[in-house]
Amino acid sequence: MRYGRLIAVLLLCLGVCLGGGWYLGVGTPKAVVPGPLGSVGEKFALETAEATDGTGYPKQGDLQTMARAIHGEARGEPYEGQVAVGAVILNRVRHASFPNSVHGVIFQPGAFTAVSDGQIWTPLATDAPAFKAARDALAGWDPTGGCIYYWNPATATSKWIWSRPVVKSIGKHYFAK
Amino acid sequence: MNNENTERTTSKLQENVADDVRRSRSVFRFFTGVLALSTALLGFLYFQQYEQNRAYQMKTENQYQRAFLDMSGHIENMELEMSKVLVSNSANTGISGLSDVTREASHAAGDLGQLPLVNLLLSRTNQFINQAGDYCYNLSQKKVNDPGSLTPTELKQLSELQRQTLFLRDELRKMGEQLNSRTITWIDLERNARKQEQTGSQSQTAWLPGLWNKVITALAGQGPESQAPPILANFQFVETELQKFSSLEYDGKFSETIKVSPRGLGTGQITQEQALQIAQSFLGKDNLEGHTLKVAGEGKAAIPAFAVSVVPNDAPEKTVINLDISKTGGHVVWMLKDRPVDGIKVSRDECAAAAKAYLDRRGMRNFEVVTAEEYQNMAVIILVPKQGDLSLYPDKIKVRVAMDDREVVGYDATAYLTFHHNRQLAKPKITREEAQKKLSPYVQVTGTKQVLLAKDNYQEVECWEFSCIRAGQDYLIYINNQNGREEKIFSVINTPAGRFIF
Repeated sequence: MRYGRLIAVLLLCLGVCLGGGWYLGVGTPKAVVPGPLGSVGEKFALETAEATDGTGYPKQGDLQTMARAIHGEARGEPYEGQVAVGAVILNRVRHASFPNSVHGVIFQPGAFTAVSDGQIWTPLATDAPAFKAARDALAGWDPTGGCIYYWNPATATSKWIWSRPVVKSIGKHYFAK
Repeated sequence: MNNENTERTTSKLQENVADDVRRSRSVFRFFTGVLALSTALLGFLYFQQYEQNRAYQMKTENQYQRAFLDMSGHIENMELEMSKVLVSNSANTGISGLSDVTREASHAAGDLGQLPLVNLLLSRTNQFINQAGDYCYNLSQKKVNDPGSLTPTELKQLSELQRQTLFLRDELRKMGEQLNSRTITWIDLERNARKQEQTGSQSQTAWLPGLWNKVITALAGQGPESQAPPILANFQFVETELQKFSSLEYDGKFSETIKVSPRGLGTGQITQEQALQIAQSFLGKDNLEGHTLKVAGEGKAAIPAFAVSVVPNDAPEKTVINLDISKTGGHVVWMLKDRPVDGIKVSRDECAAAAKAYLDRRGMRNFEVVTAEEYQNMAVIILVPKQGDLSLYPDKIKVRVAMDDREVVGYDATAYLTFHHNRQLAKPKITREEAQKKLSPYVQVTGTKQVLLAKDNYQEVECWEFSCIRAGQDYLIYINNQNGREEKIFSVINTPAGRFIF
């Protein structure tokens, strides 16, 4: 009985810790606070001939969002695969069946897991490979040759995606039209 | 004595027992108190959390509702404006009405993109809205260039579009009523859609759920697909119905009738071995010292190609260079070399010269540098070929040069291979002086050249390009050299990283 009080106090502490921790959101998805946007000193290019693509011209902020999306979706992939993800985003912008702006495509509800789980708000250093990939994609490199879908065959949760004709596989991703 | 002793012991025992009971009661009371307290605390916290969660859910729900209602409104306006254009008999009401349709369509498409419907793949619905807007935009441009009322074909196409918009409008109204009755919320739909998408979606064992679905279909006479909740089912219905309408034939950026097939590939198919040889000679010996070339796959894109990758012999899992070799003609479509570039040792102009020399060495002479952009210690140089005095903008090639040692670390000839061919070019009917007179009197001309420009719909026009300045801001203005029309205006922005055209 000597330990009764001690146990009670411990239990109380545990309860408070549990409750407090739960309240603070340990173990529950926590809203990720948007980090400060890294500054991008330069504008990216769109040369005269790019007008042939019929794109609305990507705006300055697109680079930052695209780089973060690429980082969230394809970090750890070969460099070519990162450029490819950026190219898919831009191909969607140009495609009639998708929103007509980079932000429209990236923030389309449910379109990218990196957006759904908030990874896209992780601050990204301007020298990260994803930034380079975003620049290259915006400059026009498209390793996918015009694809508008990609998925990881090992983790894909959607079943219709398998009905798309695969154009190319790069790293862990399949790319399709 | 014995008795006394026993009695004393008994009473002592009794006292002890009473003591114990008392103590254990107090302990029990203490525990109950703690339990009650922590339960109350947890309950309170849970309630707060629940309230917060509800508030966020409501916010999201309201946003979805707003996007849906906005979209319905824009579709309604689209139909209204179309119906007005159909009875207009002048270019001015026609053009303003068509511009209104375009604007409403672009808003509607934006709103549709905010709804949690991505799993439904409403590609035809999206496409319909975008194409309707694009069609009306192109039609209004046509009427600007050639004022008049609508031709019978245009009337027919537009009234067909109006009919489809009407269908979409009515369907949206029905959905709006369902949503208004509050028996279903977007939040629920979003959850449902996710669930529905994931039904039987285990990729590796896709045949098993597939088989199961077949069994269900056979037994129940309908697939699990048809069990979609309202709204989602309605959208699916709209999608399938819209697919039944034949797609519009017109010239515009979202037009399906424009199919660009590569024209600059030449003929002759190559084998994998030939692809490797081509890659090898393209990259040169320096790049391949201690590396192995291999065909990593095949691309089925607009330009079918062999994907070749270059891996170091000592680190086979790391790819250093990727390139695509077209199956037809055996051209290098693009090449990317991934290597860090430390510091800038050469200027952008020197890089531009290096890029031009790089093309020269590959027998692609007669190219001129158009723009040079700089990022992450690399310069991306855009070069275009010339035919006579004309710069062929659609046929551009991009070359990326490392600014430390002028090495070419990227190459992209997709546009060149897609568009380049021997064109029959017309002689200019309008002289430079005549063209210059068409310019705004408020600009100062600083340079001229002749160019071939591609419009949104890939239609190519020969133009005089005027570099102009107004109030310290640079512009490029294009005057058609056949009819004197002002075809396009670009704003030129000069930054330390290069010259950018918007």
